Amino acid sequence: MSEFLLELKNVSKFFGYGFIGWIKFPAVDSASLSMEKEPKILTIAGESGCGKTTLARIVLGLLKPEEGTVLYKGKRVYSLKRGERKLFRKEVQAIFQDPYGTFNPLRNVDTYLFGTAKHMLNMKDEEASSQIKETLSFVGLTIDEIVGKKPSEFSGGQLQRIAIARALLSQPRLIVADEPVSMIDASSRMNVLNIFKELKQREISFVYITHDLATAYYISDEIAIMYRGMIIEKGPADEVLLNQYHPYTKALVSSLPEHGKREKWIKEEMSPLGMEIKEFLASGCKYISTCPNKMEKCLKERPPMFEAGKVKVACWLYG
Amino acid sequence: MKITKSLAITIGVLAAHLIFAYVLPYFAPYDPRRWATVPRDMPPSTAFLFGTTTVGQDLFWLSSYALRNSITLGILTASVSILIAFLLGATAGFVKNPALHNILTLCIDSFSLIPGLPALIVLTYSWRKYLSPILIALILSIFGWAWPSRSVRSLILSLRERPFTHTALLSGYSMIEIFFKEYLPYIIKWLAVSFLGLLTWAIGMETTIAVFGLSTLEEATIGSILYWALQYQAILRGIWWWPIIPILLLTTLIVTIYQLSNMIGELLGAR
Amino acid sequence: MDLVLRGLNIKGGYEMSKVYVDAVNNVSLELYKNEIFGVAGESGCGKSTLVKILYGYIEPPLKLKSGSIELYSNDEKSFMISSLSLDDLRKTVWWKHISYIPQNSMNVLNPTTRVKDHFAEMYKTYTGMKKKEAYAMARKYVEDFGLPSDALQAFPHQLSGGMRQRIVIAVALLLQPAMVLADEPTSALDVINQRAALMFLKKAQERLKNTIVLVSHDMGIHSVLTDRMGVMYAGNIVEVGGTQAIFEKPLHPYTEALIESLPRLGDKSQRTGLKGQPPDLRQPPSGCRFHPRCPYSKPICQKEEPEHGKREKDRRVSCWIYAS
Repeated sequence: MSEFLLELKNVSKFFGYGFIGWIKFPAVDSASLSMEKEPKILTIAGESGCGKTTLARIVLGLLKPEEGTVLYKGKRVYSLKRGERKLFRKEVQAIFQDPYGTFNPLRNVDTYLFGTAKHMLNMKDEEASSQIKETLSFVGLTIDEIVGKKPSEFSGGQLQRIAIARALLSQPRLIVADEPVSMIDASSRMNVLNIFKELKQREISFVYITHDLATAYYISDEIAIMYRGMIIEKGPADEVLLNQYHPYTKALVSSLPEHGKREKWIKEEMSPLGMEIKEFLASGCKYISTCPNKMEKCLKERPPMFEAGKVKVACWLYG
Repeated sequence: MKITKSLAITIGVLAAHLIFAYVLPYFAPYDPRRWATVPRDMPPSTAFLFGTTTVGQDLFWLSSYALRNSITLGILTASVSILIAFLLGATAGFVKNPALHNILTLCIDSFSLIPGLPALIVLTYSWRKYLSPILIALILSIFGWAWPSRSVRSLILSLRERPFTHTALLSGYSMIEIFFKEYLPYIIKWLAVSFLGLLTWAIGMETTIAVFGLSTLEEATIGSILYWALQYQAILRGIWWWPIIPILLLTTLIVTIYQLSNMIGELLGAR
Repeated sequence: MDLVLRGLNIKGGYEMSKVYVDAVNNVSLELYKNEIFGVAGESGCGKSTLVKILYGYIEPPLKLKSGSIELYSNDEKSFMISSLSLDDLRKTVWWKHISYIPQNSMNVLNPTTRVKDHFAEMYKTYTGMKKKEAYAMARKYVEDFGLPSDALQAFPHQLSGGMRQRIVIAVALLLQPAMVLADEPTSALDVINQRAALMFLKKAQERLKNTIVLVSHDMGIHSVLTDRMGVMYAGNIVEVGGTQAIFEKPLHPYTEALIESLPRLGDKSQRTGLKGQPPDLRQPPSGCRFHPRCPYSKPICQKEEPEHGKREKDRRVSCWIYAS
């Protein structure tokens, strides 16, 4: 048995680009990650197009990577046997970004809840509906509020709570939440994130995918920062977000608009990011065009992960 | 309110065409295809509602036969095309094997790139001895299926990327269940609109090749009436009703079907 | 302080065949020279509609029911925006005296036109400059703003999103209008590019000493950028005041909840969100529109709309808690 719940070893996924996809670019570039069995919230943070959503789908078993291995409880996710696959589906669930896209607009939302109870827990209708009632009440909804209704009849926040209830129904061990609050109003965001915190107490681990470092800090134990497909820094959330080792993490944190940072935020020199596709294909460090600390070496050779205190950083500054 | 009113008109006009085409032929007093059954070149009057042709056919009954054949041919073409489109498009959208997927895609793309009219003329010309309405419908289907098939394929590919597909997978539904429960409603919408499009396309195409003399000229279709009208130089000789009446029938029919498909598209799209 | 724009009792919304969406309800505001005024609020609170109305860009289904908007330009003319036709606005007011950066505007640049032609076209149309002169002016203008001048030769799609957004901002400021309305100018950008674009906007404003109205749902952006701000909820401005003062001591319960629910780096204390959903503006709640979600709701809140009353200097709040 493996000591890890989830383990990614040098995972890469390529997409075609340009004229009929001649150029292959790595949306995820040799990413390695691990999560211990003890329930934790691991954040994968980065800006749009950094490959975090692709990585989420790889973890979920929905998108097979070209290189590397994905292990869940020590077993290869992409070569599971039939029975194991069913167990994996039951134990690893997901919540997606767009609450209106999560459910088919032509179908009633409760079909997914009953479907999950039936398929994952082998429940009959009656048993299923009492289970669904209980799960819904955990997210603050009742079954009468949702039965027979189409997704368009709910607000985004309500739908996202239904999506959480659906994921919870199968009694998962790990939930991958891909930007679950980015389309919810700020005043209700915390309600959803607090549910995650509470679920961690109930032995559920989370992979929280986000671009928002403030919410990441609020809920996560560990964090991995991605840039142009690569994980460039990972470690305990406090350490990474408060002390920032990689120059990119520094730029991210200093750009975060927050009350009390006014003077620094407006005045301090900074440089905007370079063109995406060129950086994806760079052979050296991908952050080189913007990095204030760049050296000769950065251009030629890709930095491996160095240890810096409790944190691992892909930057030659720490080599 | 506005939609229902124009819908009522559309359905009314369509129903009139259908009755004219499918009910009236049973009441024909004689086989209208036969020549010299009525006096020649009579303009429209109470005796001969649509007038008569130079070869002595009653244009009223003849058009009714012709419209029936044209519509039937259109429906047959559309049905066969949609069936092929659905089967190949859905398979191409679903197969996991990349080689098979590429072959199917290539096949669909090649057929959709063949220029229809020239190829049709060549085919009908080389098979002109064996032509019957059914054979023409089948030949038309060869060119009709590829575009809708392409759309079905890309529709499925895009639906597969939608998050609700993942939600369904994570709820334990199999891909087959997802296809029937999640995708079919979208595909059927699309096919319904395509069906009407193909129907008008097929009727128009048959008319076009008939004007070139490449259809079943002894069978009454809108196209063959036009062919004979042209052969006998009807317009020059002032027998205007011979070509004009079938053209009017054809135009009103196509416009009505087009209207209907727009309305269906709007109705389904609005959901 | 010099007044630049005065909006009085603005009521407007979307009128469709059967329903009316009451998007902006009785909003009055005064905007001054040389300030960045922020409009905060969550999706559907009417902030984008308000900005459209201020710009005079009123096309069905949007309708201005009542109220007036008057703009005072740099050359001391005044324009009654609310009573001018779209044609007149286009000819005499827009771009020259007030400009508007709509949402997702980094994609508004014509993809087949080089960046320099976007600038030159503006010069040619509004000042009657010759082409050559316009190009030279554009180059000087862009360099003055600290943008790389090789961006001028590029087509918009060859530039990064952050650069395109800065170009859009530069185009909006080209004719030195007294006021620029920017509706979520950076919501499509990532934090680093967002900061670059907003710093650019701030620098431009400091140079031109004009007025910028910045609409954003992100309270963090207001805290670092705006001088004064208004918080909108369900079509009303519920609180107006100096940004720092509002962040230090929010008066309206909704503002309080918005600020309270903001997570911050280095602070793991438990945060709570508001309960419930924003109301359906087809049937807004009676009285104070916030009362169904308000933790301090009193009986009067359900019956009567609170006045937008003055608290301290330049601080206004619409809430019954503060009624004397």
